[in-house]
Amino acid sequence: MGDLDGRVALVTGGSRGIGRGICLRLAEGGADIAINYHSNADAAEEVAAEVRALGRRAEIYQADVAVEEDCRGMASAALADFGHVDILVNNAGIGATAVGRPHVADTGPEPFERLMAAHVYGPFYLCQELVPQMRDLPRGDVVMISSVAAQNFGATGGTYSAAKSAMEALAHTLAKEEREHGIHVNIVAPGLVETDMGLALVKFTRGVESMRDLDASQPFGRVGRPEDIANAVAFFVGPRGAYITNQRLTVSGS
Amino acid sequence: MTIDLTGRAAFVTGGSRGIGRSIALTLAEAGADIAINYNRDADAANETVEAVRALGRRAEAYQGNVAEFDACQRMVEQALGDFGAFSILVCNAGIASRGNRIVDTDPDELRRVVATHVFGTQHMAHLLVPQMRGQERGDVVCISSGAAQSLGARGGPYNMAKSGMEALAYTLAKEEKEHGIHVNVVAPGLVETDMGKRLVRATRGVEDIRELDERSPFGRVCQPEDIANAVVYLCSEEASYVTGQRITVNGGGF
Repeated sequence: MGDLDGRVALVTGGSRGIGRGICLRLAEGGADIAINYHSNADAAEEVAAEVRALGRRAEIYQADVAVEEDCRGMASAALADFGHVDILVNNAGIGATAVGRPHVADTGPEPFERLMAAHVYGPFYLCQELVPQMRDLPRGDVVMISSVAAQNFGATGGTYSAAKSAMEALAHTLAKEEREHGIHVNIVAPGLVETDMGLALVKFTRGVESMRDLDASQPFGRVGRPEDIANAVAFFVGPRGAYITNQRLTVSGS
Repeated sequence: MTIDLTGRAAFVTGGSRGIGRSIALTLAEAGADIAINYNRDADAANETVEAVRALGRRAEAYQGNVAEFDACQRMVEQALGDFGAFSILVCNAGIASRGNRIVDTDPDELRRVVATHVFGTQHMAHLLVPQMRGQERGDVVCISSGAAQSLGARGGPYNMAKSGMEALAYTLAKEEKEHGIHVNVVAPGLVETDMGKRLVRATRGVEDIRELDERSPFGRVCQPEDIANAVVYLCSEEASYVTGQRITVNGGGF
């Protein structure tokens, strides 16, 4: 029996990387898991199987969080399947590298629009669909997976930093609006993590082929892992975070 | 997942009452042995020691004012003799300021408050961090206050002392990371402790702090356990990639 018994979590981008780590960690804590994925159904099925192997219920939902109808449809489907969603983890994202890391002044609006839709509009649609039903639950939690990009604002990362900052603004506003209903809204901000997105980033920015080449230069002698981020999410949504809302925790080893 | 601190020993300053007492007990519940420091209330210290021992952990109490380096040196020498080593230091001992405006504050009061929070933390870090470097992991947690963020009027000495303490923590985090030592800050708001009760009596004329429950975040005044839970998380495997961070435990701060 775990701290999260009886609770249901919807994790966007849950099929791989950090999202997969969050699904597994919350399931270890006792939660049932609604797993969103965008394109990789096999990976999502694998995570679902791992969650079920932990004795928890899992369902997978295909949706592009950048698309409003997809978000609204997924929320309805998850509510129909599970009855309630107590925990929403907005994790799905696109890296700046995926849009070529353009300089702010040298790009048209398209890459900005694309990242803003995925990181800000998607979480916004899902909050609209899922927060109202959380108000009647014993407790509700929304966790945004942001990034150190929203505190470092590095050159060539403008598309991503702007989107993550807007996502954080959404979180801090929502925290104030929903506390009276027992809903907690918090932010976890990872640094470099060993994921497909992280690897694409360091290949592009540092020309390395493997994360292992970076371990020695990283905090505590290793690149961050999805579990590091998942553990912070579990802290916020669990009983240890009962008096915590509107907070942001950077998990970057620095 | 259960947090397991078995085999670790923690030195908790101001550990006889209030937040410090709860930190001592919560760390002990997770498996750590506990040295507490107290300044005045020997009975409370003995009671906390007994409560830790009742959990099956080792506990000892050491009298001394952390503002005085000689006292810290004597306590640490005794405690290292008793426990062998410490891998956790929680700097929690604190005193409130008197509610005067800065221009009306007696410089002796400022020096006293700064000596406790800033110099006290430096004394303990100076005495205990070097022996942490050879251990698998070290943790320093500084109990600051939301006052270091809100910087309210009539709180000058306390605001300055807690800000100084946080500056020390973030600097120490950078200096000791290469030795596997984590340094983090937990910042409580109003908590139901002797200090919290005195504060609401003095500033709001409230005799019973629980009268404030209804107006408080999540319908209750923050309890010492809420703070202790954040400390335990930060010292655990779950937070092995978290350092130089602050978790504010105040129900949102609005």
